[in-house]
Amino acid sequence: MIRRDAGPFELALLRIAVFGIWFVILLDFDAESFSRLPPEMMDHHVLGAVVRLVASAPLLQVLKLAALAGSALCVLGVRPHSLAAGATALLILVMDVASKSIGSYANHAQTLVLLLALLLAFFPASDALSVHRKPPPERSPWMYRLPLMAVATLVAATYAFIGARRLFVGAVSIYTDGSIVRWVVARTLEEGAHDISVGLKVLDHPWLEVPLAVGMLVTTIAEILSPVALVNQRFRWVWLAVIAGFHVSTLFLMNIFFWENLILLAVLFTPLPALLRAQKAGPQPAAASP
Amino acid sequence: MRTWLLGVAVLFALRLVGDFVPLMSATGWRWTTRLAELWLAGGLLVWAWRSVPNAEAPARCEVVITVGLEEDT
Repeated sequence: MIRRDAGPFELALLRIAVFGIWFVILLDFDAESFSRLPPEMMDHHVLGAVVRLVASAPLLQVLKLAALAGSALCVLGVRPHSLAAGATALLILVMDVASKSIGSYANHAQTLVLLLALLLAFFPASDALSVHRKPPPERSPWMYRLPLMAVATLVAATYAFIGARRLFVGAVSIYTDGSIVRWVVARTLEEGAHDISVGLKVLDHPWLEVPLAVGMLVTTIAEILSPVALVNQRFRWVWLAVIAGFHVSTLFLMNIFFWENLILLAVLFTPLPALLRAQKAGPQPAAASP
Repeated sequence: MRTWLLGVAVLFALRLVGDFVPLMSATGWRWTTRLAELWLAGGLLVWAWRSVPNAEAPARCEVVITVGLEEDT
């Protein structure tokens, strides 16, 4: 199982990644514009009543600033961690509900990283890479390993269930009836944050349908097999290549970019944390000769 | 693993046949699809977690009990 040998450094790196991602997301939240939306647009959300309470520009601005400050403190590793991360995660939850409640639109790019923020509040993620110099208390190594294993499983599960859904809803026909071309064109024509129109080229070059359909099939298989990446290191590299390629291709072909997931994949599924830890520790003295 | 694979094969075959034969209502298909997703993805996740040696289970339980009780300093 992945991250079974991880420690405080790896969990702290995940903390920085998760709350750093939220800092960037929250920076982009336009409280002024959001507060001008008709309240009826929020009615469809299960927590619409909560959002209505805070849907005034000044209150949203205060919540945004508080969530930004909390995220920054969590990135810095301020202790007590459970208090800082717990309060920040709740603020983030409210802001996330607010941004998702527009016409019940769910931005699932944020869902995973929201769950991780809520989860991290329960674990000692500020025992390393913290502004505090006082060493943390002795803890069971499983206090660091278990959350990392759980989070990696959560990431793998999201891909696996999306892939399984595509397979059982679409079966074989979605790979043979030009669905991918329609999706690429429709997504490209939607108003998006990235303004990339490369996807429309598929209309000028119909032969692109075949490689796109093959790519979608390979991606679906990799998504379904995501849990295997938790336990098999060789497969993990293949899986990372396919999933990272998929995320990059959706940026150009569909105007959708899950940059949050790419960061989480790097922290959870690559040797990046080990490399950073080795770099931080500096060169180790050579073993004394017998 | 064999039972899981057999389940995946049966559910996928059912889905393929469903393209040509009206086997069930929309509600039936909705629940069949959910079951199939759970069987396929959930089965793989269970298999991955079962790869963790049993000897480590007490340590993991200890963490679950400790979370929320430990004091941060």
